[in-house]
Amino acid sequence: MAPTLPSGDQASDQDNWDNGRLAHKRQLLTEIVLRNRLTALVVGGDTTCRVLEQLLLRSYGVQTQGVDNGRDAIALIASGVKFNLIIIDMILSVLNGLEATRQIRDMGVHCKMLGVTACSGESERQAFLAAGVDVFIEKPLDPEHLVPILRELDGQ
Amino acid sequence: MAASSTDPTQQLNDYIRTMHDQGILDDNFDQLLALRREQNPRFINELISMFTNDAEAYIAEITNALSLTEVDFSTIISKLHQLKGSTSGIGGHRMYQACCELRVAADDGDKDRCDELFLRVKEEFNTLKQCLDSISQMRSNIISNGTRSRRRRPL
Repeated sequence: MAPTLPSGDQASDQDNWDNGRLAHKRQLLTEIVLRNRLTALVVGGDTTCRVLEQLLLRSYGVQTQGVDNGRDAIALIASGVKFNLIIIDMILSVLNGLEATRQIRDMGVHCKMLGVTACSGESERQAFLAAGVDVFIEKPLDPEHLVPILRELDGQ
Repeated sequence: MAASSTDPTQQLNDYIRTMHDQGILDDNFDQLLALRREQNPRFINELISMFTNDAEAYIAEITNALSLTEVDFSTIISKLHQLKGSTSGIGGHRMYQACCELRVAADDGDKDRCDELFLRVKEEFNTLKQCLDSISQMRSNIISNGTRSRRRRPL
């Protein structure tokens, strides 16, 4: 991946940021190299979370799109756009995550779906899985959960 | 050049470490820093600004919902869900914990407890905001100094 920081002095200043705590996190971000071009849709009502999830996916080279409600997600998929991965929040405006997930599955979409939520109760987990997500993750989305899924989708 | 206590980068690292020690920030903030290399230098500052704006909006909506004669617990839970999510994403550990406690009170429909715990959420948000604002300022200074250094480089 082409560096986005200018070379030279600023890069050396940035190098000084490294410490043991960051090293492990950074290692996870370079842990895999995707052989295939993967695409993902992030459906999240909260801007900060949606942007973070898209940034994380893009750091692995996944092409991402983001929408902030279930209705727009349904419309995008209905328009014929295909995704390898859909990450969907449970609580959304207009059409909530559970119902949006059901409708996406009813449309015959079989791609991997990750349900993410700030709530980690068993009832929430069961409801999301019953609606059709393959995996349930408590926010925030992190490399430890994402890397195995990307490997699987990439056929590694 | 060896890093010293006057080195802005070292000062920022020390500040972040202190915030970790006090429980204000957690490993999720480190994840943002790890993403930093892949993005533009100012993206963390932009993200901090985004989080602060979102959080203030959620807090305003929860304030309104709590002030109603018939408290709107449904809205409180919904906005709290989003506030929890963005707070955990930015790495605001203590604020996240305060949100979790408020969520329990909201689920129970306990207005008095909600009022009490919401005060704590707002206090923790103010603390987190000050912390993130300091980090933003320190990072802006580092980036600006780096830009000035490059301009002074001989051709």
